[in-house]
Parts: sequence; C-alpha cells; structure tokens
Amino acid sequence: MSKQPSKKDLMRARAQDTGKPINIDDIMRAASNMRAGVEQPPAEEVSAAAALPAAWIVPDPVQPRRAMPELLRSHWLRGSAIEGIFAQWEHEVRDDFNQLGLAGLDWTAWIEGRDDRPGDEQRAGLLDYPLHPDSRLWVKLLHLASSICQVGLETPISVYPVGEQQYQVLVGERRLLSFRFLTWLGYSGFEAIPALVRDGYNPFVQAAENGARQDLNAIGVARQLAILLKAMNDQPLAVDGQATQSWYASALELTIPYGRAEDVAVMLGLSSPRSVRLYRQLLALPRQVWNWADQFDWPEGKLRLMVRAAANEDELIRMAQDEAMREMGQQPKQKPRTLTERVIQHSARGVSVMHKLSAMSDDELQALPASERKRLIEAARQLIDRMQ
Amino acid sequence: MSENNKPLVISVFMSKGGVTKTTQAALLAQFFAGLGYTTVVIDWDQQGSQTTAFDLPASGEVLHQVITNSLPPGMTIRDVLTPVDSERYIPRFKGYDPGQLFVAQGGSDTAIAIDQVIASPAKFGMASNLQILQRPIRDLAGFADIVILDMGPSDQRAVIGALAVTDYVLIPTTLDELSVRQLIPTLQLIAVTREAVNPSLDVLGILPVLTRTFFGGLRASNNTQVGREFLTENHDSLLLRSGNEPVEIEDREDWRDAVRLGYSIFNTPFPSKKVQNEALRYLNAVAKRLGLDDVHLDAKAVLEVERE
Repeated sequence: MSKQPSKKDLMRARAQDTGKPINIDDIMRAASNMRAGVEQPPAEEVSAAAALPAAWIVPDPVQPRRAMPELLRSHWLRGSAIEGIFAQWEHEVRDDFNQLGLAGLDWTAWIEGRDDRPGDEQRAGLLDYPLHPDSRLWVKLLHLASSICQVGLETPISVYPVGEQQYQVLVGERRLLSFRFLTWLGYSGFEAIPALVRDGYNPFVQAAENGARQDLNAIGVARQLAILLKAMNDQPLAVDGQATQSWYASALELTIPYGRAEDVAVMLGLSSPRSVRLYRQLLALPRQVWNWADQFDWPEGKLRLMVRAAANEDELIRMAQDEAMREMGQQPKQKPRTLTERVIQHSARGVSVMHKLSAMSDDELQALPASERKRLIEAARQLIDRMQ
Repeated sequence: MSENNKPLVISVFMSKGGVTKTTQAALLAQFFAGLGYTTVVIDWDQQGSQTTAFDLPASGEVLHQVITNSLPPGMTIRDVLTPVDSERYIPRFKGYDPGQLFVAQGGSDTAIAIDQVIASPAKFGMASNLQILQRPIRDLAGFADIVILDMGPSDQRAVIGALAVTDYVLIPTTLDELSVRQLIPTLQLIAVTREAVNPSLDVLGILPVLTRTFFGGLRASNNTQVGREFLTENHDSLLLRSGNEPVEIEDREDWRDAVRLGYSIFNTPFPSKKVQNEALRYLNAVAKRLGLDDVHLDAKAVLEVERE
C-alpha cells in the first residue's frame, strides 16, 4: 500500500488548477485513488516538477487519447522525427483548408491570438468548418498550443523513465505535442517541458487524471476502460507499435474485480457502474465504426442509438459510414431509411475511403490533388494488408 | 447543543445496504427527542425509509423541493417538516420532558432532485454541489437542536453532500466479512471529506449489528467471529463502547413488529425489556460519546398496545 496521499493539498492544487471550487466528484476521485493505492503528489512536488527536454519524451503506445492521426502517430512511435511528421500532417491539412477556400492560413495568428485570423459571420472558428478528422485534430492542437503560448503550462505532464535520457508519457501527450509543435513553428522557450517523473507506469494514475479532465471522447473512455480491465486482471500492457482496436477489444473477456465497479466509474469520470457497462460495449464495435467514432468524437449515446437501430453489423457500418459522410459535408448515397437514422444524422460533408475509391473513374482519381491521392492510396494499402 | 444555534448533525452511513441504517437513524432520533431536543430526521435515502419507520403519509415527500430551492416564496424546510406522533414514538426518560420530533420526508423524487443539483449546482444557486444540504441545515438553525441524516448506501455523491455538513457519523455494520470489509471504503470516504471540506467531521462510532435472519439464528457462528476479529484488529478505537465493552445490538423481529404496528420499541411493554435495555445500552454509549449523562426509561410512562 502506498503512503497516505496528501488529499488536502491535492484538493487545493486542483482548485487552483481549474479555478473552480472543489466538488463532490473531486472527493469521490480522491477516495477512489485512496482505495486503489494511488499515490498523489503533494502540491510541493507538483510545483517543483523538473523541466525535461521534450525530445527525450516518447508517447505511450496504449494511451487512450489520439491527439494526432493514427497513421502519423504510429510513425512517431516507431521513432520518426516529429518535425517530419508535423510537415506531412500540415501538408494534408492545408490541402483540406484549400478546398474549403481557406488557403495560406498563418498558424501564428492563432498561436498569438491576433485579430487577423480569417473568419465569417456564420462560423465562430475553424472547427465550424466541415474538416477532415485529421484537420480537426490539427486545429485542436493549434488551440492548445495557443493557450500554452499565451498563458503557460499550468499542470506538468507525468512521465516515467524508460531508458537513458528517455521517458515515456504517462499523462499529458497533448501538452507534450503542443510543446513540440510550438518549437517546430519557431517559438523559443518550449524545448523543455515541466514534467513530474514517477517511478513507473501506473494505469490508475493515468485513468484518474484523464477522468478528472473529462476530455476523452467515447472511444478514448473505452480505451481507458480496456487498459484498466487489463491492469486489474494482471494482463500485459506492452504492445509492439501502436495499440490497435483489437488489442483494446481483447479486454471484453475480462471482468472488473468484485467491489471495484464504482472505483472504475470514478476513475473514468463516469456517474455509475452502469455507465461503465455502456462504454464497455463500445469495445465490440466494428473497426470501421470505432475509427469514425474516434475521428468525429461521436458520443456514447449516439453510438448506442446506432447499434440499437442496426439489424446487423453490415447495416451498422453502413449507417456509420453515412454519418461520417455527413460530418464531412457530403450527402450519403442512400437516404436514411428509418426514423432513427434520420434522427442521428449531422449536416457535414465527406465520404469514406472505400466509397470514394469505388465510385470514381480512373481519370477522376488521377485528377485528385496529390496529397489526397497519396492519403487514399495509403489507407487502401493498409486495408489490403489487413485483409490478406 | 451547538454554537451559533447550528443544529448538531449526525449521519447514519455505511456503504453497504441491509445493516439497519434506517432503524438506527429512527432510534437515534427518538432518543434525542426523548431527551427534550427538537430533532429533525432528514430522509436522505431514495427509498423514503423514514416515512415507513414513523408511519407517515407517503404523500408527504417534500425534500426534493427543499433541495432544489423550489418551495413557495417565504417557505423553508421548517415549514414542510412532518411532525411525528409523540405518544407513539418519543420515549419517556426519567428526569426529561420529551421534545419534538420531525421528519423531512424523502423518496424517489428526492433522488432525482439530488442528481439534478449535483449535476448542475449553479442552476440552483450553489457554487459547488457540496453545498447541497448547506441551506436546509442553515434554515434549521435556531429551530432544531439535532438533525439526523438517514443515508442510502449506494449514491456516493449524495453521501458526500451529506458528509459535508455532518458533525458525527454513526456506522452500523453487520458482522459478515463482506460488510466489515466495506468499512474501509466507508472510512476512507469520511476521511477524504473531512480533509477536503469538513474538518469537524468525526466518527461517532461503529455499531455492530447482529442480523439473525442473515445467519439463520446462529449468533456465535464463525461468520460473526471473523467479523468481530476484523473489527477488533482494525477498528477497535472506533467501536461504540458501554464502559470498556464494545456495544452490539441485535436486529430483532420485535423491531420490525414495532414498525409494523406503528410505535417505538420504547413506548410499550412490547417488545421485551431485554430488547429495550439493549437499545438503551447502545444509546447511552452514544450519549457518553457526546458528553451526555446516561438515561433510563421512565417505566410508568408507557403505552399499552395489544400484540396482534
């Protein structure tokens, strides 16, 4: 059992961190962490976190949040330079914005909060445009980097050592990515990031902090739940490369130890063990639906509605595909056939990779912008590899 | 009883059901009313158990209006309390004139209201959902001497909201291993709430309860021994004591008969003196913990009720 945590300091630190008064959920989390034997750092340790070179820190292969496109993240996990990854990512994002009439965007306008950011009366910000999911992730990173640049980093990330001058993220990948992003954009002072160095990997700390922030999407919560299930059942948490949906789904066979259901709910930031069961069911989603749900941040309720409305897996995939198309501003080929399908549709544009490839002629394919062609080919290649 | 006219708030809590929380809350309320205190029981349990315990009309649920601040203008919790029949429920102790006993009736609407307030405290004028009971307790200042909070076991959020205003927690527990192990999360929750928001929160005591129906009448079974040993090894300092001996009470059929017939076990020769004395021993342990003198039943002032 770990040493008694300093709960009062944690509460005070948390209140200072968020600017909000302590509430019932804070106390529940502290009690849950106490039961889980989770060691909480006193406020003094948090404020005295070391400034580690951001380049020494690598991402966690299984962590539940996806702050960058999966494909690019897998490159990062395999050791590709982050600068090259940002360049490739930016190239694709600019293609997307060009098609929306937003060419030549100056990212520093957002980073520095300047008034010369383009906009129109109908849209409050970039996220109001029907962006490709990879572009949405870019914009979210831009927003976080802007906040860090203007206000500073209020909460250190948590890392643990994995080698000589090498650390792995426990909590805070988005913040780390923001620091690397700002450096890549040419801002100085972000080469090192405040980091709390823990002894080792602790999935309960990770879950508790993610639950406290409550900014994981439904698929992120499902991933976190899978990690907790594996940890509670002494299953290995190491993977080669990036954890796939099937890796998380393998946790479906595992059960929550007796008496721990409420703890799991609290760690995930959910209201009750019943909510945990609902997110557990997401682990069984077909891979395509899982990916779209992650990319478009579909909430659990929406996914549950889709699953209930679909007669079988094929229909579920078709419904989700149609919804993904609407998210990207394109109408699905078939109109929704049921009231439920009409209820859950959004107004957005887009087509799925397979639909676009099969619907186009050779000339149309060749006429696509080079970056989009490349992206489609890469996605199709991955699909073929998996199917063989 | 408390400074600044604030009532003394005693919560009855254990994070496991079926340990006789409602019975103990009702008994505590009767006890303090018997000592002459104006006592209010707040039914913080979605089952509305105190309505049954005191044979009150089921239509009297008002707590949800109190919590959501939706009473008619000018009204507070004081105006919507249900008085309890004094002759049937308030014991007569030697040397004491009985006080008054009221219930703030809860139920399923209360549970819904609690969920609403906890989810969106700002909508109900609160900076934090920890203040959910702050205003009702404040409105009882100068009216009630004692407030007893009967808490359900499963809604931890509601429990924390109650612990935030509680002075003492009574923790009944049955002696099976599952229950005594649940003392750990119960005490941890109390400790965390005390550290975070309520430094005056204290444990009144742990009260072991023997449930005959659970053990099928075997009091001295291995199950109870394991539980007793666990309590002694881990929580000995928190056990309620009469003299030097830990107090135990038995959940008897007589208690349920009393509820069914609509009276306190003190206000009739039925059940037996043995049951009454056992209850008094426990209540005097509570009194001692609070710095009060021992009390004795006034044997002459009892009702006679025909046993059905």
